[in-house]
Amino acid sequence: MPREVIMPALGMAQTTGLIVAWLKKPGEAVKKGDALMEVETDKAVMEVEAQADGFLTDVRVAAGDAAPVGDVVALISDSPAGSGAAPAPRPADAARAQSDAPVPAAQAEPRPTPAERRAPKLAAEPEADAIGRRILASPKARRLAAEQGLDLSRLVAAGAPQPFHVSDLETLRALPAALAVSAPQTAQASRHLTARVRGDAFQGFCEWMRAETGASPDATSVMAGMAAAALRRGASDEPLIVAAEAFGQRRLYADPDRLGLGRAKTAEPGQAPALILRDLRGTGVAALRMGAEAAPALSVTRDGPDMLVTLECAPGQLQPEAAVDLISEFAGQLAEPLRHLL
Amino acid sequence: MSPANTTNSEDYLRMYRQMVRIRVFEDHANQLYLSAKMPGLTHMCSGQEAAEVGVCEALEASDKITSTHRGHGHCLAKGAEFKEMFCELLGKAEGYCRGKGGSMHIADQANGNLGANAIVGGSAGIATGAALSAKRLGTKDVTVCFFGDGALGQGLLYEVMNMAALWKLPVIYACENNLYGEYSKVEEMAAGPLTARAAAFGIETHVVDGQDVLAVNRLARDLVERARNGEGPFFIQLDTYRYYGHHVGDINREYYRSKEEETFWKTKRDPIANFGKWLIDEKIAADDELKAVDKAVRADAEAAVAYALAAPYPDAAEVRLHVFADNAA
Amino acid sequence: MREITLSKAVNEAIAEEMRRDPTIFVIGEDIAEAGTPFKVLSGLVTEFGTERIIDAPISEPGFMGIAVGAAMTGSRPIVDLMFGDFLFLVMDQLCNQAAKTHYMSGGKLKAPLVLRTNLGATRRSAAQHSQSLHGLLAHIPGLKIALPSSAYEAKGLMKTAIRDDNPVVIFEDKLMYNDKAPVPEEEYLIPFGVANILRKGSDITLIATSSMVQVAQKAAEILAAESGISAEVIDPRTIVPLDEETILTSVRKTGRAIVIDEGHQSFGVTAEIASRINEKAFYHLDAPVQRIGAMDVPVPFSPVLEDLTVPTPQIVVERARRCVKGELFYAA
Repeated sequence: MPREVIMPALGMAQTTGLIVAWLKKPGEAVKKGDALMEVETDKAVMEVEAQADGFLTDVRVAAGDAAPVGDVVALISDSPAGSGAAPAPRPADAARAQSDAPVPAAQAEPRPTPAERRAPKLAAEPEADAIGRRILASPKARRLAAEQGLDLSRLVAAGAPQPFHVSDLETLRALPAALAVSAPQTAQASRHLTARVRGDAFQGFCEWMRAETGASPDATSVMAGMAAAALRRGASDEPLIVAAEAFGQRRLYADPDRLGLGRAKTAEPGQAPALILRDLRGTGVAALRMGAEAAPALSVTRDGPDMLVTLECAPGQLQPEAAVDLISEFAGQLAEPLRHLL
Repeated sequence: MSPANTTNSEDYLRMYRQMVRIRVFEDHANQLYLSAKMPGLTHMCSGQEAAEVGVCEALEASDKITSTHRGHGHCLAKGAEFKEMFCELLGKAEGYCRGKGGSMHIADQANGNLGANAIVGGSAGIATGAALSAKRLGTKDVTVCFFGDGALGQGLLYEVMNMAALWKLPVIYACENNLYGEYSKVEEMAAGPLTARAAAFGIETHVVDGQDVLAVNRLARDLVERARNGEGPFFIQLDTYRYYGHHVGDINREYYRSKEEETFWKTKRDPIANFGKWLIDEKIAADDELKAVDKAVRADAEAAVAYALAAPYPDAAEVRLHVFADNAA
Repeated sequence: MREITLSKAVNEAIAEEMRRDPTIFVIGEDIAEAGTPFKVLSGLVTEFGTERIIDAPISEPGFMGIAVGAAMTGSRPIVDLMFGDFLFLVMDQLCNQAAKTHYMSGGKLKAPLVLRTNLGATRRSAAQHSQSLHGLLAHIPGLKIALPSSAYEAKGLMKTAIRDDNPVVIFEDKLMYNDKAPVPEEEYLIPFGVANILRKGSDITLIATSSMVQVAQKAAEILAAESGISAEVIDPRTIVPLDEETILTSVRKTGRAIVIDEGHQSFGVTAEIASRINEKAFYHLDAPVQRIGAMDVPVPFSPVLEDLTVPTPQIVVERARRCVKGELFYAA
């Protein structure tokens, strides 16, 4: 019965062995104790002895190749012919053996350097900033603050020294009620600006246009054009939808400032307007305060001989300067329409 | 282990069989290591069978021994079974120590084996303490402390021999001088005669050919009896030889030990072959009888190895078990 | 109740147990006629004879190893190690053999023994006779460690140690042998793993071992009287096993903790207990857990220097005040 010749474990950290040389030829007779092959480990070249009498056959690993410890590398058979099976080295093993030269198991692929491992984190957020923004408080203070709905950042704003402890929560509770409430607040004050325009100019302009073009332009659409121009201020070519409301009707205009006043094209329904224009001259409404809507709203009302322009928007929709610009420009167009044509 | 003081054929055959068991066990342990089936390292005592069997055959099951890192022979000679030993070497749950000791800490408490020890000389204190217990508690047990020539470098040995002599403890210090401590020759590591050390404490010393199982056994019976009667301690130097290297991985050993020397001991001084020859010459056993013993022991070993390879590992929950002994009440 | 010294309490415990169990013997240096240099075992040899009170040569590894072997074979030895500093001599037999025997044998062998030794500095004995090495041993699985803080604890813990089937190391503070405390006449045992709350408090928890318990008590008195701070004082009594629950319950209540131990400041008992508090009571902490140990220096001989190296009530008081005021802040 053939005895297996196994790649022996010759060292503590060794996982493969390289066969430096076979000292017997396939088919050659061997006796127990004969030197069979030379194996190289990380330490040295060692002779491996045959463990039985017989003939060396079925050599699966050639000289110069390595095999994992424990693998069968040959047989010692009763006859020189051996098992008769083709002694081809298994490709997977050979490939593994080739690439896996007798190096100690500890030497795997190079490990990422500390710099490499830190890199993703650095890319995400500079560490120093994160630490700077951290609020220092004891675990107990944090837990109690969370349980009681108290906002530690209010203490920071109030200038209390860190780290915060439980006793600091007393200070926090004593802060003015409005400030003691957790940010962010959901109710936001809207911007409300008004401008007064001498009434005749716009009326006169519409009549002039009628006389010049022979057509009767929709005053509201003219106004919408002016509003769009005021909002755009040459800043961008992006489509600007204006929702114009007058006489109980709402019309959406696309870029009413582009095609010439009074020749505004209606926009596709359902688009979100960038600006709402309310022509309320025909109504008795003089002044209004309606609060912010989905888009900034310019309303035009009559106040005696004058027109009143009101701009309302949410703080997030227009910064203060932009709001002032918008209402000034629009009111300015209404006051001197011809000037703005030039 | 021989119950009566007479040696008869039965005893001789048992001695023979015990030596073969050790030799076969070590061969299989070596194979398990080389074929990467056994975790860790092991240290084989092939060649030292007569020294170990000769002594242990003079002991009862309740007598105690302590062993060394090269402890399979002591363990088997003191009555251990193949199955539980292979299981222990492979770290399986059915091992003598539930897989938690391994080759270097194998202990067989039921047979009085207080354990192999990974610290050279580390069990000398334990052996001496076991002898103190025996004396104090009046159990009449004798303890044999096995150690190698290398352990003579450890201070602990001298401390306990001193106390054993002072208190007349029933302990036999058995030094298996296999001529090498790890990779160094004994004469380079131990100054002066080995027995002189024990003699310095007034301990009675003996030197015996460790490859002659009968000579060892004769001496051991005498000393064990006397120790039981309170005449201890004793020191015996057993001159022997280890066939393999210091541990299983120590294969390329020509730099410290010549092949000629190894061949000499294996061919001319083999304890099993020589005892077999003696048994045949004295007509105590026939050649085929001895061959039958060889075959039977080999079959036992193969079966035990197969069993152990298939046996289950301890359950993960056992890792935290036995750190502390549970108190009775 | 009668009051006896710690020395007498230990003597009584051992004598009572030896009367009860003939397998117990004591082995060590100068323990028979001399009764040990600290005289703790005086008189035992008269009652039990030299067979059971065994004077050994100056061979610590030797008689430690003998004790291990005796314990593994039916005896219950008490090893007397004259100074805790000599632990380094017995480490192999104690830590490689005794501590691991039960485990390595898969539960089949055991080593029921007691190693009786001491700790504590300020005796002007210099570096090699003044160490407190219990933290070192607590790191080894398989050893139990007891730290009596008074005569009462010493007797109760010693009895439990002797009856325990495992290797137990008891450290007595060598400065306390003449300190008296109330000790009942009737038999009592103190179980391992049960801490003692000596003083109830609400502002800060002081956990202290061995003679540091007295240090913590004094500090607590000062804190109450001078700063209106109410400190709770806990004595774990054994560090292996450690009564975590009592400590954690206290810290969850007070939100602050200081651990005081006579081992060195770094890598010791205080670090372990502080760490467990951190892990399991983190969200209840209003201050970082503090550690006060002996200075990380070999113990100096000169009294002026030696006294600087150990925890004192004043050090504890200072730290506790700053802790309660929220003044302990170690900026990044």
